[in-house]
Amino acid sequence: MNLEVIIKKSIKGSRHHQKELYALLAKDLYGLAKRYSVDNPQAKDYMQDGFVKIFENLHIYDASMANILTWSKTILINTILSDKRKKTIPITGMELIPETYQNADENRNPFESDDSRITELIDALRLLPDHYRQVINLYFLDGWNHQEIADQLNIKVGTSRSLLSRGKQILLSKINLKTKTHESKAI
Amino acid sequence: MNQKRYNQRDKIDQLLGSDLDVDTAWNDFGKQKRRKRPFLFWMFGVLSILVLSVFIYTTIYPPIEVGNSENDSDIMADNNSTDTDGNISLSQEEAISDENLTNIKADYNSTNADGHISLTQEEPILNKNITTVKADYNSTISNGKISLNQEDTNSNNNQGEKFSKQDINQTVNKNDQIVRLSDNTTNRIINANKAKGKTELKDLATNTYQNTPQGKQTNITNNNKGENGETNLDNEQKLPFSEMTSLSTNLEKEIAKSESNQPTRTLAHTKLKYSLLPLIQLSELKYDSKSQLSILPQASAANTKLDQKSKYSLSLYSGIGTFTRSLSFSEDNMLQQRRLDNVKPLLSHSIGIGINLELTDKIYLESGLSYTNNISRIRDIIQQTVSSQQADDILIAFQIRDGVSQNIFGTATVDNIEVVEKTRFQQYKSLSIPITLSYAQPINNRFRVEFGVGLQYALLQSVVGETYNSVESIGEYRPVTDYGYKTSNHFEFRTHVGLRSYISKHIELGVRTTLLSDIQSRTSSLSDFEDRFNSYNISVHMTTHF
Repeated sequence: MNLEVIIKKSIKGSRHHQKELYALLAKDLYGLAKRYSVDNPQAKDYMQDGFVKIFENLHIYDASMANILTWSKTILINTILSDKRKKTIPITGMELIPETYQNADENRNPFESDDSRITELIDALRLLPDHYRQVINLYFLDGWNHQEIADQLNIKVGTSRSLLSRGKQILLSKINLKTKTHESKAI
Repeated sequence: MNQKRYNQRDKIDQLLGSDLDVDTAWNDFGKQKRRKRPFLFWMFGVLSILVLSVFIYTTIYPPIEVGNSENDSDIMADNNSTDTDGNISLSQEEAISDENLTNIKADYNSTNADGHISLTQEEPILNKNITTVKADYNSTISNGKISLNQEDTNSNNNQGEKFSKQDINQTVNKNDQIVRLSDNTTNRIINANKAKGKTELKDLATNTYQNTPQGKQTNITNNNKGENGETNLDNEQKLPFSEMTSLSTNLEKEIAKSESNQPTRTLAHTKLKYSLLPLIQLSELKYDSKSQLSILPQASAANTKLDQKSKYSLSLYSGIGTFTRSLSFSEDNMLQQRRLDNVKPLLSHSIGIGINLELTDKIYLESGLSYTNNISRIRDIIQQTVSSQQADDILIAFQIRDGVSQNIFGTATVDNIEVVEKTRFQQYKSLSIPITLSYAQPINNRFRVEFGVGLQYALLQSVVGETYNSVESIGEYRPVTDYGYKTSNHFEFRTHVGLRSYISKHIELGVRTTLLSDIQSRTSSLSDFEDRFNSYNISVHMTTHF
């Protein structure tokens, strides 16, 4: 069925068409929610909350501005961040690393690799503390810049940079540690 | 974000979300409530609609009140009799409300050779509403004059009096029988016979009592006025045809005074007071016992109270409910944003004493002293460092040299952190003077619905508790008073709907839903944000009438 018709009928409250739209978007949004959550039940909660917002705001969706998937993901990200803001965990022990390292870090996206490594990276990402996970997600995967991240998370731009850099280090160290462990077991 | 990164993201999301069972997730989504409103929000709305409906109903169909002459449903009777040289003038007005769809009009004029009898009767009866039956009787006999005007308006809706059948037999010269009305519940057969000096008139309206001696209670009072003072119509000389006819029973729609020492109930336009009980006894009305003649309603506390028309009353009340608040601030005030996100209004309760001044039967002014306490809560899940220790093999640095990334491990201090939940409560107290103009509408002899609007002025206000100290969730708080809340001079809009009931002659119990809404901010003008409350209360009132 035509996506435009599905959206229009969904706006009018047709449960059948809402279900079709839900099925169309659910897996992508669930995947996104997984990136931001520590476990799958939390990811599912985020996804459902995101769908509530999506259906509530579907009437303002403009197809000429973005496709429905991109728009829905933006809604879901904002929903997740809004929820996170309410349960903000303090940033403690944060040390700014030298600027020379930062730019080098930011230019290299660890997620630009093959699928098997991506799965490992996401698993490791979900083990990171919230602040690191959010910034890495927003910067490397969702394409936000530091200013946008800082505004959204109520932190300074420098803090955002530091979180990204430190988070990436921890993420890679976890991956390397895992690789080392595998290698030592093999020996 | 460039397209390449978009594609990478979508690819990752699809990969991660591939294990989702969409149907199950959709079913879960259907069960999820989209919006939750507080229980009291709905209860307040439902109660308001209910009370408003009762109010509208009682306004459209006003109830009958004993002793209230302004009520259209009252049965009224005016009798004038003249007992000078055998001249009797009698007029009667009655209000009849029946359940029938019948309009009746009848005019009778008859003249007797020995004198003259003129009888005019007009009876419109309307269903569900007030039915008016009018009858004018003018009769003159040779040895005197009898003038009788009768106008009936009977109400059966609440009086409980049923006109199952009504016959009027009047004996005049010829044995003419006129059937005026025949329907389900009202039949009137009038036989007009003209005979020598004999007039027989039977109005079986009163036979209703014979037919239904244990019928519903009715509120009718007959009062007569005679030029020479009080007149008892059981006196044959004063009402010459009363012996042979049941004309007297035509007047006896009710007994003003029952045997059980109940107070006499009079109507505003009543000119004379006397009991028609003797007339009924003379008119062959057979009752099993005199107690069955007590067709007046038992004098309820409400009736008694209404008659007393007390001016002042004192109320004690206590209520509980919830409230909402609106914090408004500039966009860069992140601290208040955090408060707005995390503060949850919990409870609102109030107690007070009220002094009521009754302006009319239904309108009264209410004031007094009211104490209100609104309680809110903030709850945070924060990380707390509980201890620190040295640990080896910790990643302490990361560097890229000559394009090669390098992790540097070493010994570092590690914080042991635990996640704790911290809860803080705030209390917003105020001592106020409410001024409310209220309207109370009786819905029956016992209950009244009321509605009121007014203002509430806070004499004293205080804030107790702590709230966030900073934008960051680090578990630090400071007193709410630091934020510039006012200590007095605060106005609130106040409105209520409720139900009241007399539980004794002087004491009334009531339940109210009250809405209090801040007209102005609770913070001072120097504060960089505004805070307004709307509270909903359900309260119990006990009112003592003096």
